[in-house]
Amino acid sequence: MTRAFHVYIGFLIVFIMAPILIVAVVSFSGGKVPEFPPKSFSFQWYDYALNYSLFTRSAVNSAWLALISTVIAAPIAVAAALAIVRKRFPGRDAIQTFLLAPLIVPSIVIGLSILLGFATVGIRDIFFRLIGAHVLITFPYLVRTVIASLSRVDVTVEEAARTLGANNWRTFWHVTLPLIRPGIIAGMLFSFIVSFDNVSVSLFLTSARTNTLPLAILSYVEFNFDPSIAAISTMLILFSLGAAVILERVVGLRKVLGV
Amino acid sequence: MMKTRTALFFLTPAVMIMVALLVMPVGYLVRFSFFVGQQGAQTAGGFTLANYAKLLGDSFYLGILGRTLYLSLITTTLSVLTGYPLAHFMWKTSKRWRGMLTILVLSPLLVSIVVSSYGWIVILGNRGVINNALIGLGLIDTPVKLMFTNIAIVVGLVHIVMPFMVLSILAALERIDPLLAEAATTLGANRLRTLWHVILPLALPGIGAGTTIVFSLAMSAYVTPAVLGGSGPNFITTLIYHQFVTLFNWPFGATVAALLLSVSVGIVFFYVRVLSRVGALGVQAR
Amino acid sequence: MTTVELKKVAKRYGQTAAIDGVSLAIAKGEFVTLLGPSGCGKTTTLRVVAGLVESDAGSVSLGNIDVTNIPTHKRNIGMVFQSHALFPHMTVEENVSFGLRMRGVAADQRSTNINRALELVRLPGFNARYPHQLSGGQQQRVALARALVIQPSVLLLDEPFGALDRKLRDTMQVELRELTRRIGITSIFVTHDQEEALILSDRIAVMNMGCIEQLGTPAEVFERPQTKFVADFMGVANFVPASVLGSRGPLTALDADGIAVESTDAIQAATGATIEVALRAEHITIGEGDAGTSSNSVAGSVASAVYHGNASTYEVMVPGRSGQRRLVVREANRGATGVRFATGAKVALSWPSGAVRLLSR
Repeated sequence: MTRAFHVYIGFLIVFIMAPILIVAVVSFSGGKVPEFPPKSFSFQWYDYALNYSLFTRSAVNSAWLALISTVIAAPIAVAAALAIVRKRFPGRDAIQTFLLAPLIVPSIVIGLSILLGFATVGIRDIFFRLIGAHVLITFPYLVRTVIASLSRVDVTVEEAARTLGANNWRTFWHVTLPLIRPGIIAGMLFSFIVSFDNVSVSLFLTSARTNTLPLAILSYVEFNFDPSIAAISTMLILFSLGAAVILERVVGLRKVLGV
Repeated sequence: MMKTRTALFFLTPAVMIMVALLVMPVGYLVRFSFFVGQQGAQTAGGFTLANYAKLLGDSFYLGILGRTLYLSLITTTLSVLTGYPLAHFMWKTSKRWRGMLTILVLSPLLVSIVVSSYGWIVILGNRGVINNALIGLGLIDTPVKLMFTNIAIVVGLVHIVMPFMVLSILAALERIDPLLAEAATTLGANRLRTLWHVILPLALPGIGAGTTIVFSLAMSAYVTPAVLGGSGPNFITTLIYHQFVTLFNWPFGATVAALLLSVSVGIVFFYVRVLSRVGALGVQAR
Repeated sequence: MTTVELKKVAKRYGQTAAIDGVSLAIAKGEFVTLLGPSGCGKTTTLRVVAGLVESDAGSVSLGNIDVTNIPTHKRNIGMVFQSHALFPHMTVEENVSFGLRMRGVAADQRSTNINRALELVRLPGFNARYPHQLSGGQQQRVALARALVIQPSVLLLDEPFGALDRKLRDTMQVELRELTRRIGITSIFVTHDQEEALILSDRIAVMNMGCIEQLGTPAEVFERPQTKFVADFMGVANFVPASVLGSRGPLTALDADGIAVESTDAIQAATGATIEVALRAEHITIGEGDAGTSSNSVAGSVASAVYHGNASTYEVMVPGRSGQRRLVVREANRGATGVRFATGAKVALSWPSGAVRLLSR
């Protein structure tokens, strides 16, 4: 029983890791097509990917998009989390559910709604609507991490600051904020990844000229099948896993994902 | 404690972006689904139920909807069968390994779905890892078709949604008093019976929550069916894309999207109203 | 001279009154304890003084200034919490320095004050440590230094030793008593531990159901409880309903359910009125044989005998008018091995008239 169980677990872990590991190996391939195991090794596909303007341009777009959306969403999320955690009011749970609603709505529906909504009110700027959409999808993760770290701050510590002569603002600035800062940073990091990796929301909002990296990869794969995608992917994997380790250390990955 | 006025002030920006970016746009989407639909109709007007009648009356569309539900159901079932053992293993393992295991099991969520989809192409393709291995071992002569099949879609879907199942079940397992299993053992239950009679019933709320999340995520996934399922509308999400981008029939695309939205929101509501109540009873029974 | 004054302060949470008209005047340098069981309103009262809870009615003044509508951070109070509430992201020095920084004290002046405060709580040289590197007792001392360094007009202590183990608590109590007396700071201390209150306080306010039941020196509250609640909370074990028979010289004679009792307490109640007689278990003498016919003695049989080291506790059944009545007797062990009386033994109980307390309600 135990042995069979462990074998099964091993199989599942192989299943989980397989696509990621194989992509990483293939990226060092010396051949023209992705083959596993590669017959020869080289860095040529990294060289190719890093100099291919379609990828680099869309990567810069994605990075800006992720950064701007996160920076906009974070303070709004912190303010909302403060109100939700530090104030008891009727309908508090309802508000919290409302703020987490973008997690329930299928992302393809969010993307479409933003497309139609922005078109209806006459906003056609691509970057503008992309930012709107990405603020919306990153927001709930930020709210959740900030609520989680705020709930762990002992209220009496804030009260102590008040008895020592700090007003509300100084209490927040000197006591509450430093204590939830790791949570905020973790939330922002995760929010950056969510935005950077997003496909189904951006799908309808980009254009051939203003594209995000995941969408650029997606359209490239449709017509080309060389290992350059593996090279990009490996860089993305390293970035994500690095972020994952940081998140796990700082707040715990599960808190961020909130299940 | 915060003053009510301050709390309202702090909540206002959040509520505003939710209204401006979610509530109103979704309203527009739903309104669009009642416009008169035709190919190339990016801007349209009027009011009609014809889009819904077309979607729910045409065997081609019904076939896609049925396939979506069918594959999502299989994906959910497989997620339970893979997610429970993983959650159980993580629950039992020592603290030292748990952090690493967490990163490992959750990695499909952190690594871009485009990346893992590409990985599955390399694995499942006609000249991919699996076929090469099978041919190399002499088990088959010609490649087995895996890519662009239901199998490929399900494999890809399970890979990205199963972590949510693991998280939900693990959360339920961690609420179980560890002494409970020991108590069952002292009462003469062997390991399997303890699992069946004690642990599983208590993990049920987690399985319920996981099933809800996983099913709606599977149903609304786009990249996996688009990349691994091949060209043409084969899934509800690719149907939406097809209507919007290829046929430019926005009203009909909005109708399909509205249906997808109502099904996923419906599932969550069903869970909150019905399943969680059953789950709550399960917890109380202990 | 009054430093802290509460006038008819009230606070409700929904339907329940947390405090219900508390009035209290505290003199400069006085150490007053709010004592009572959980939910009696003692912590709420303290938090109203701190301004952490807004009262619904009544007023609070500190140093003759009405602070009822002044927010916490402008009240110049020092507060110590049960959970220490040290800032976990700051060193000891930064913690102690916080209140001074909020007051805009210059850096060089701050460091002098900080070091003096740390010396006061016997933690010199701990400046660079973080709270998590300190023991529970040390953390509480830092919290005390942090509250004292700002020279508050009143020091508020909310069960500060609740999280410490017994032995450490004893040491800290003595230290706190010595420290507050030495610097002469006005203090309000909240606890549910009567022994702690007796050790520390100049005066004790025993609270029940949101009201102060009795206010007095430790000796008064302990020796002369005025209500059954206070007597019970102060550890009195025996209560017997009694009717007043009248005065006999300096004494009051009563009929306590068939037992003739005399008390040195004068009573306001008229002859024939029903009151309550309270008698401490340790004030009853237990001996062999029959009781005499005089007052303040009764015969009975031992129902249970428990040995607890320095004392033994007996439950003795005595005949009362309304049936068998149980009296608890505690006898200090003076070289006896185990209990002196076994279950079922016939014993005589007696007590001095000075030990009998008469409670009007």
